[in-house]
Amino acid sequence: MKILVPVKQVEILDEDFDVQDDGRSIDPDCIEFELNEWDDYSWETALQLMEKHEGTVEAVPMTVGDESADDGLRKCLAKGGERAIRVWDDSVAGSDPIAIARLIAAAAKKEDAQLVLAGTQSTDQAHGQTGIAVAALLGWPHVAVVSALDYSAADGKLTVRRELEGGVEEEIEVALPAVLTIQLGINEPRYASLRGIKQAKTKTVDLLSPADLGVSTDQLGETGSAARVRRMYIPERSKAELITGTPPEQVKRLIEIVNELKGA
Amino acid sequence: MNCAYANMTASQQLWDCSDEYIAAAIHGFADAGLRQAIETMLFRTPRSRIRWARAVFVPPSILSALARFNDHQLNRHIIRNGRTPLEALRHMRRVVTDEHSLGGIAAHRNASADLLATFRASGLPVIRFSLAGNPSTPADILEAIALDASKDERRVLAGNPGATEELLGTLWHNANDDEHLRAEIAAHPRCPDDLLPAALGRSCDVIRRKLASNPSVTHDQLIVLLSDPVAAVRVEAIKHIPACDIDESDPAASVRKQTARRVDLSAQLVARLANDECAAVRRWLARNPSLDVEHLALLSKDAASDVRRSVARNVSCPQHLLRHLATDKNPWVRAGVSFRADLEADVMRLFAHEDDTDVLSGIGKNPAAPGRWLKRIAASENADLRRAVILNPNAPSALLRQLSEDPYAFNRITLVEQPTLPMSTLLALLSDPEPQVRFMAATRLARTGLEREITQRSCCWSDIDAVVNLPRASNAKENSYENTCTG
Repeated sequence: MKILVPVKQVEILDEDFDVQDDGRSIDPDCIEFELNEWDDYSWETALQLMEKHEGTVEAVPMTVGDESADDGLRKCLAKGGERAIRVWDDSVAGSDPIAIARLIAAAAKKEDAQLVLAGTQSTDQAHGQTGIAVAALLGWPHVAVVSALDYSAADGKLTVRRELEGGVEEEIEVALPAVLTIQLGINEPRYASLRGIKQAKTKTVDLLSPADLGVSTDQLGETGSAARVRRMYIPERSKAELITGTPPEQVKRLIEIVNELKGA
Repeated sequence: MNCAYANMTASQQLWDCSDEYIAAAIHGFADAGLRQAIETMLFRTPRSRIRWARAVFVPPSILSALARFNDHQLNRHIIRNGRTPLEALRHMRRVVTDEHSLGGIAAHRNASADLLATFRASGLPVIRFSLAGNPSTPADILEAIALDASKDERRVLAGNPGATEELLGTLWHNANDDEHLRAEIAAHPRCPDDLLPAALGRSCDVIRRKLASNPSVTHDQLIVLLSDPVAAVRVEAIKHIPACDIDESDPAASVRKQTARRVDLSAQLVARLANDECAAVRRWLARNPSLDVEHLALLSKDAASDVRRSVARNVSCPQHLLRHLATDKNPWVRAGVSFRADLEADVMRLFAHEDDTDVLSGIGKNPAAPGRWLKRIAASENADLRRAVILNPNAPSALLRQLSEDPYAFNRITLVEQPTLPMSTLLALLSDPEPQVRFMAATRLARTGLEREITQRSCCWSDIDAVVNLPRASNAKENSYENTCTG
């Protein structure tokens, strides 16, 4: 079984940042990148499956991004796995989660993967769409927000668990091929050894273009996206007030504030 | 050996690594030419400049260099960085014009009195507020702000260590109904003497509590505060009052807890507190270094494990009690014993078969622990236990070298500061994949004089590199580097 694990370098913002002049994005000079937290867990899940079913399971991390995204793939490879895939050309810039999912789905087909393990969401955009869109594009079953997983090689089925409202847990059996989105806390991601970090530098990262995957440029970028960012802005912050004085005075001031807000 | 290389300065040799974190670490130690080269490398793009300007660990010399760019966005980050030195702040004062940045300079902890004095004429609220809270603001500026200060500004002024008696007096008399402002004034060490009785008579307990915490309060005032109906006031008062004036039977456990921490307690008071109904009181007493052996022995048999643990942590606890506590059924108590560096060998041996994480953590840090035990703990899967060995001042060099390969980056970061870390291991950490490790290792090397280390041995960087990166071998060259880098 081959497992494809889509990972993402997410944007980390400093407290002080600027919105670009176009009003639709953050000044890239104010952005740092790191591997999406959820993806750390999905890659660990894949590594554990690979180790448990040694020789029969292969895990491959992939990402959609320019060369700076290689850092995220190398971090994955430092923990395990032999190769990674990065998909990029200029036509991909500005793609929404659905357009990104087209590339991941195409990569899953090309790699003949039977399982896609995506993070439930990304810390920067938090759409929570990519994994589910991949399943829809492939026509595979999917389970979202998976908190436990077991794979039976004998019958090729997955038994997964999801945490629902009120502490209820749901156990689901899924036939392969399938797409799962992995929740935080499903495992304890390992630290890469120093040897692993050094070895990761020499492992293969296959660079593929959308054309290599058979995805046309009109399905990508802003043209191929169903959603576009209209405006990005920092909302006006309301002012806090420390209410002091004796309890009757505090109550009086509180009533004044409530009346001000109500327009009374 | 490349003799020309051997004559290079330590900074130049570190610079040869072409690593930007190592370069940043040595910037402050480098000569003008090398600094220029480092800045060219570090400040290549606006993005990299911003990254360095907002790094909390960045050396002040780099922030000074960044200040020369005169970039509006960059300046904001430089001003916000707590390590920005005074010279860079002076430059910022000359070039920035926006209210937010000026307020940042006026609030900066490295701003000097003369720099803050340049804001004297400013009426901007953000600058006034910053000046009011900055301990370096000259007193006359604080007094000028007080003349028409807002409610928030007055409170900040009252908490400023530089506030004068006159200013505090003025603020008190103009406080109107602001009892929190009066509380700040009552706590101030420069609170005028004539205001202390006034504060004592206020009905607001926050004022009396703050007053009780003021070291300038007189003995008579403390006696009154000790009878205060509010326990929080008595807790503050009991910290400063002579032990002979302490009421033995305060109804509040919080007050008795504070009492139990005093090192000048009478025998009568100790006896009462040792039998206190509240376990937290007994716990604080058990930790009290002035406690006699008799009461330590009594508390070492206490039903509450936290009390027994405190006895184990008490510096005055004798070995025979430690021997008893080392076999306590509660691992948290045994862990209290295992941390002690003064354990006699026979007590230490009681831990030979321990497998509790807390106890092993104590043994790992204990300088008296046998080397073979440390070796076992250093091989643990638990990252916190491995770090305990790193923190052990007597950890063998071989173990420290092994732990320099620890997969948990924070452990390697901790290792860099280990005082007995072998020089070869410190040099090896310059190649660590974690930038923070490389930065700290380079900083330590630059700080402790790598130049001296290298030139005194007539060797060069490439020799060291070979020693560090090759498998360990018993040769004379290696031995010459196994000196510890205590600088």
